[in-house]
Amino acid sequence: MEDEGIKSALELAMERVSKLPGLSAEEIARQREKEFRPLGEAIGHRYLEGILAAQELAPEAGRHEGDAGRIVRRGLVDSLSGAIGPENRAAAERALAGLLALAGKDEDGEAAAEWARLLGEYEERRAALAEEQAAGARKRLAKLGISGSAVVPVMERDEEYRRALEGVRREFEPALERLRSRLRREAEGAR
Amino acid sequence: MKVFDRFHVYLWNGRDNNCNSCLFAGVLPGGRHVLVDPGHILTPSTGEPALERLLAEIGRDGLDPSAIDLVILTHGHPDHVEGAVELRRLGAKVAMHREDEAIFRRLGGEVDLYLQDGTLELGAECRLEVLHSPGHSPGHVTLYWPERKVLVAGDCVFYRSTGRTDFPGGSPDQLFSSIGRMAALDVEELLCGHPYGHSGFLRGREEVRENFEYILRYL
Repeated sequence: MEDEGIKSALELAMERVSKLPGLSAEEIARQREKEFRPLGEAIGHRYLEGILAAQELAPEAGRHEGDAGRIVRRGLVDSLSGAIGPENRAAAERALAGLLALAGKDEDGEAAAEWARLLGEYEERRAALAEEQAAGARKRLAKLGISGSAVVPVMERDEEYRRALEGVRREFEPALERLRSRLRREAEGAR
Repeated sequence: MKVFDRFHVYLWNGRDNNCNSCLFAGVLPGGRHVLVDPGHILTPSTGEPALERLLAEIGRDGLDPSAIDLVILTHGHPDHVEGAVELRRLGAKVAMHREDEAIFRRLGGEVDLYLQDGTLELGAECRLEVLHSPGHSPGHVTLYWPERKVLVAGDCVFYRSTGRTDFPGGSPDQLFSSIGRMAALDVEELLCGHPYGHSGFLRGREEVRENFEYILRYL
């Protein structure tokens, strides 16, 4: 005999859910972004760490279809383009190759040349700045009686140098962002 | 122990492992000192207060241990550098080769200046040559004082022996090449990094030459 007055836990839960207001389109989009974007970012990390090859990026991102697939791909593209910066040259060049592979290109002379130009200019500025700041650090050490060609000041933890380098970094950011945007557009567009 | 004006050596004679140290006394402005390889704070097995003992010995030589402004590390291994973490906390600067910095940092150390091949001038009267001497560790350096014919060899050479090369970054080929470079120097006082089977302080050109010959021939 079944007592219709007694409801199972599942029935109670379903009843509560049915009384909840429906999610807006924006909230649904936000939820899906939250759910699928990390999958794309994780593919990007695996590639940057050398676990995946450039040719594997598109098939990996393509495991998800439709809207979810687009979000995964966007997460992947953003994680790669975010690695394009002058601080870690190896990661940046790997990211560049990954984005070109996603865009279906083996090579992009224009993008590679633009990256090489930006990196070259940045390195030149960074080296000049380091030399200028190191000269100051050497003077401070010489006052303590420590000098000579064997002495190399530690610039990486010198606050003044770090602040100045951040300034140089900011100057290069607009040009870098233009390059990233172009690569992002091409990588997201090609499917 | 004062060897001669401005140069003191402190030879480890405890039961546990620790390194030999030396001091370039009063070479920096204001009569401040430069200490090489302070060693352990406490030795790992028997807990001997190695740093305390070293500073007391410096004091017994009539020198003020609190006047150590610079600590030079021949390499980053704990039995040479632990004391530097404490001395830096007390205000000394720490110098070593960049390639051994990571080991030192894992022990809580911070480096204030890197050393590379070249000349290191300590005040107006002490001009050392820094030799990058990899093999025992990638960033090992030795210090040569040409004017007084002193070589502070760290763990590259010992009495009738050499440093180990089985630690991370070690290389027998590099060590052999580093020792060859040292053997070509005119040395009358050789301070080794440890006292293994000997005080680790070889005195006199002949004894130093024989030791290098023995090492290069038999090891």
